[in-house]
Amino acid sequence: MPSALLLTTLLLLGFSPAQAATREEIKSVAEELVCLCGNCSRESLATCVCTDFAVPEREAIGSALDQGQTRQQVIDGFIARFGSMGLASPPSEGFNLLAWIAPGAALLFGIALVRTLLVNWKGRDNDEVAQARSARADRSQYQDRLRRELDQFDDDDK
Amino acid sequence: MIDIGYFALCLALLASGYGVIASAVGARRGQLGLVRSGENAVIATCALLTMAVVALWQALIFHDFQVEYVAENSNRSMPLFYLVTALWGGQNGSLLFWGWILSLYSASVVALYRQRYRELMPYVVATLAFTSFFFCIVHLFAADPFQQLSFTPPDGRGLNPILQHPVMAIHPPLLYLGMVGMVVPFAFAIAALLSGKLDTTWLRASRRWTLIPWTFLGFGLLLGGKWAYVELGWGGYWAWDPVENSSLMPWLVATAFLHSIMIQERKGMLKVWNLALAILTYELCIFGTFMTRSGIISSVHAFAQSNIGPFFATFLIFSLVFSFGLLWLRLPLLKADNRLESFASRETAFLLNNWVLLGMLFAVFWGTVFPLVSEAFTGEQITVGAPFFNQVNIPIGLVLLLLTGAGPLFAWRRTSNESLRKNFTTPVTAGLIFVGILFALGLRDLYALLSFGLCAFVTIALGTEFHHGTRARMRSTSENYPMALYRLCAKSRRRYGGYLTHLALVLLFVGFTGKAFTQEFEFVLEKGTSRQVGNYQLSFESLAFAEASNHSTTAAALGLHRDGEFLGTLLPERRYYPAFDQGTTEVSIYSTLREDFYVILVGSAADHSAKFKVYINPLINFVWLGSIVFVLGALWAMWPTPRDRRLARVDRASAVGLLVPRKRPHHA
Repeated sequence: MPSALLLTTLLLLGFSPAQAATREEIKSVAEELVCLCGNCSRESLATCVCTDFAVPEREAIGSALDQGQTRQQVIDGFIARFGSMGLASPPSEGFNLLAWIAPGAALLFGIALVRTLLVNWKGRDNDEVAQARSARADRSQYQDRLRRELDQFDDDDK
Repeated sequence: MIDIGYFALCLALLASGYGVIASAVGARRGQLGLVRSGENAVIATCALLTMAVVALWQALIFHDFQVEYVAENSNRSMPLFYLVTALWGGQNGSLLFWGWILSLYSASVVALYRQRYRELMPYVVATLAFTSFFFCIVHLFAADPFQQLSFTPPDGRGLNPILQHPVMAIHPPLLYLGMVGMVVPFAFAIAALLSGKLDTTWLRASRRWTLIPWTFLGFGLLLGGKWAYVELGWGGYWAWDPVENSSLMPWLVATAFLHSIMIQERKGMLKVWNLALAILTYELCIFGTFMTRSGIISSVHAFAQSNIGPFFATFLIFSLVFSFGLLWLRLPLLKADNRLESFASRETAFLLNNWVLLGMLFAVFWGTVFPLVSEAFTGEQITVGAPFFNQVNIPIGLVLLLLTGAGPLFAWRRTSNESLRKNFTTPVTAGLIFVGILFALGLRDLYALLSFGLCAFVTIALGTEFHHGTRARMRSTSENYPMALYRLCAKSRRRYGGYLTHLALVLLFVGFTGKAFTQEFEFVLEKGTSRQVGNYQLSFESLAFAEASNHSTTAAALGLHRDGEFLGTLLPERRYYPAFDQGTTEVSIYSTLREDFYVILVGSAADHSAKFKVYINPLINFVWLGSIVFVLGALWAMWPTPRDRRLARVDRASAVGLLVPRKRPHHA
């Protein structure tokens, strides 16, 4: 069983020396990265448990931190080996800055729109309202009245 | 049987195409016969697609491996249960399933409204039939589920192992029922636009037809989270995967729609907006199906990739242009009937609710498609993963939570300063006190403090609403408290059912916030040894290997103790499915309302030592609790009331002589 053998070897790698870097430190670096094993859908490197990529990579992060590399150096090293898609979120620079700015811009635009709408609504005079009402599509008078009476009779959607 | 299935699909294509033409022409010319014939075509389409689905089920259950889909997605060793669910386990089958559910919805609408909404119905039928027509084209020309192989393999490949889980039997159907159902409010919106009957009639018909799929979709999403939690083995339930996002997006818009229709019903405002939301919800469902099924963005869910992309893209663009073009043409008829009396009103709260939900929609949409945008512009492949979505959506989510409690405290039209003060004092105080207590207990995470504080605020705000209503009722009747509470909620189902779903959101947020306190451990244990993990003691008792017919299993037995008390035996497994060259983790969970102790067997070595990963997930069960309350609240809100029955009678009585729309002059 070659796969079992591989699994064992990989695990033994993982078993090796006690690490100085704490789990929290490894986790905080791994959270910035994604697993690129190809079987999962680029799950967070911090949580993926695939033995052919995430587990050994986490160990690698641990030993790199032990050798005195900084967080950023470890992340850069990972990106140098696997490309920019290894980053869990787009870097906030250059074109990718747009990823971060757009949602906030959309929210600002939205609230401006809501404000304009409210102010417009408040400022309407009664003539406009009456005009709009009379322009409504006609419908059966009888049905309308009955519905209104039913509405008063029963306050279900108060 | 397979030939019958294929033939049924061909006939369904014709029937749905005929349905479109008959309904449209019948409506234009005012010919009842043609309109009825179009409705019958929808029923026939449903019957034919049912036949096709039965044919595929028959092929799956009786192992007709000459059918490519059967050979790809099932095998002889699968139990009957998974043979049945294999219908939606693969690409072509799940599209057929989609089309079938669509036809079931369409047939139900037709059957229920033979005498109601007559001015809208021909156009509703035409829209529904047109969507069916499109799906039949996909079934026949892009994703034929009955495609036959030139030979008959002795056995099939089987169902993807990660899909072999009981939750997977219900999660996809629920999502489909949710995504597909949004076609009904869309059809009513289009019918209102086409017929020019732009009053609230279409909304009245659409409200329940939105609530039903909205409930399915919401529950389906949460159930999908549950599945991911127990099956995917990474200790979480929501990964902001493109496919999860693509079902969340229509749900967000539908939620906005369910709120904003109330403004139109009561005040005759937001007419354009409501039509736009109904259209957008539907387009997002089509977009979601397109994304999931064409695999344009990498995802766990994109199990198969095929050539359906161009079909969906064309349909999406066509329906977008058509719907919004139609809306634009009708703008002159869509002026608001009222004016806003005060900024401090329920109307404003609903507008803000729509703003937040649509803002969240944009953030999710943008994050989901950004890899494509970025690659198109820079040529560089990037990932937009959970950290991005969390950073962007957590603040938006907290504002949403705030509105969940604050909205109901505003009265319609205007709320006086005095009543604002009265309504807000208790809930705000409660929220602040709760934050103070948590801070004193040592909680320092800003978002967690905000979230828990808001949860307390919303709970008290809504609790007060229920309480005041009940007391008012007790004063006017002789009922005791529980009876008055029940009667109150039964009298205004929409209102109190809605509040119940707001409380469900609180429970969900409690669960989500628990995520901030997750502890995780990864370690190696020798057989026979034990170790302290958080507040628990974990002892590794034995390791076993087994060969099943389609997979091999490694299982560990772990004893779990806390403070010397034995809590139970945990049995995490690791499985390997040779047919798929895929390993899966079967996690083992010790669950209490306070927290879950979640163990994954990462791997094992020949010397009987094994590597484990443990998550201690506090408060996670509030998420599942919240999903149950969500469904109960939604059911409460959608349950038919005596008023609905009276309205239906009125509609039927007044529909006599109006079974077909008369030609009417257009009002400009």
